Amino acid sequence: MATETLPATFRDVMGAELGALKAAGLFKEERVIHAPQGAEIEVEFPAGAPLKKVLNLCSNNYLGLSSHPDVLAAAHAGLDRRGYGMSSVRFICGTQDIHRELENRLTEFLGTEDTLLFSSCLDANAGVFEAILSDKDVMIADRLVHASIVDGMRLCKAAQDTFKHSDMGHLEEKLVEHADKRFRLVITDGVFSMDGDLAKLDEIVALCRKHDAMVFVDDSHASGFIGETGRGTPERFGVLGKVDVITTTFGKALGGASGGCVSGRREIVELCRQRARPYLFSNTLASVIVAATLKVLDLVSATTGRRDRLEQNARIWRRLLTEAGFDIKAGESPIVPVMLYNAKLAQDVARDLFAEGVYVVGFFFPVVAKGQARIRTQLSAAHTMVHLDRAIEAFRKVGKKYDILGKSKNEIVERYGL
Amino acid sequence: MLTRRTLEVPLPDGVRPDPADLELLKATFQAIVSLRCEKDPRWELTLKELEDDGWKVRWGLTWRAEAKRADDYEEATGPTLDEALTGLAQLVRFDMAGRAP
Repeated sequence: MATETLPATFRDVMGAELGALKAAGLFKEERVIHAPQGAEIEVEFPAGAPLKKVLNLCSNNYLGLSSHPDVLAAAHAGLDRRGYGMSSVRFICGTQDIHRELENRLTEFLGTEDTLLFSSCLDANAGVFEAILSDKDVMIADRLVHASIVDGMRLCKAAQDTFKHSDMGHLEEKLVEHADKRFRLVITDGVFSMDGDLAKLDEIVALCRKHDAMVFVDDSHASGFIGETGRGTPERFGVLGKVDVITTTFGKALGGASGGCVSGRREIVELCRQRARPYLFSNTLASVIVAATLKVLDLVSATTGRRDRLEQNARIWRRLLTEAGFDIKAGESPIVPVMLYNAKLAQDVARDLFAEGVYVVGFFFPVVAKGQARIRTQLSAAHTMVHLDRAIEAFRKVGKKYDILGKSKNEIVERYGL
Repeated sequence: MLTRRTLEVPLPDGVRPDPADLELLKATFQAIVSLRCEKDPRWELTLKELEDDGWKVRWGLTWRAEAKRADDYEEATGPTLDEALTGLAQLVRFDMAGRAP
């Protein structure tokens, strides 16, 4: 067996590192779900424990389409009509008619000029910067952008800089500072995944127009539900068609399987088609996902019912948490962080909520900044009022146990520390 | 294997260099030595091969700044110390803030 050939020193070193992760409380354990994704799921946790039916408040299934019967039917039909695998990258023999069809539909939906599919949005972010920028250019990113953007920027030879989170004054300083560069690309998430706040996209676009810079938005936590018709943060801020590059995922609201895209100016997308390494050297997006995503676009284009319900759920959930006395991050997205500040407290509260039948995850350093530990709750259009009532009951019970209801940040920190 | 040779330079009486002074002195001497010394002749062939392949090759001295915290490591280079430190600060800052999937 191959494992027998591992040098003992390697095992010792890796074992020590794993031990250190466990000691620091950073070891990630998967919770096995024995059901399709949905508002209520059956979870085996810890491993070997009897299945527990819990209310899911931590998935990115924003529109509740992950297991929607029409999406499943479209996936089955796609499988029958176009097969399972393509055994090729796109540019050799991996492009089917439905890949092009989905790219055209996304272009129309996102209000851009062209679109290119990737296996994931992580891949899109990993490939796009290197494909379009050179050492004559600069990337100026919000300091809270997604990790995959950071990785993509590291792979690109353009100069890197950052601006303080959503600080437009600081962004303008940076645009002026880099005025000598050939191109300046301002990079932001549309919705930031940890705090759930929205980028000030109208102001960013205005600044970029003023300084002749380009705008990049990762709209993964927005596509399908932010904006009046779910076209994302550009729609929400009235700048549809004015964002030069959008990346997004089909792994969250848009069906939740996998896949992503770069969408934007025609030349940018074409350069990605020619140069983006995750596109060139990784297999084509599976036909079954393409077929299902086309159906998702049909569903979200036909009615705003689901995004409206999601918006309402988020509003109600924010109100319920506030009325119960929890300290939450204000905002308008379906990402609602419940602030606990202390890492152990966040873990304890998440554990107790799970025991009460509510599945949430505690986040703490280094996932969030030190002293910013929290529970991130995420709403779905699949949640009903019955679900939200049940969830808030559990939150109240656990909050009472830890005496954090109605308490300010200072009071929580005073009692539990940072 | 190359033998590392060192040079001791007595400082004038009364001079009390701080760590930054010593770094500067060290860097200055290293720069002079690097500029004075010729590259290994074996590089000529490699450089010719690169040029035949269409590469325009140039080289020069750079500053290197590094930051280490437990297993985290970042380094940046630049033609000036300011640029190296600026690059380092950006790289570290990228991973300072919280992120989640």
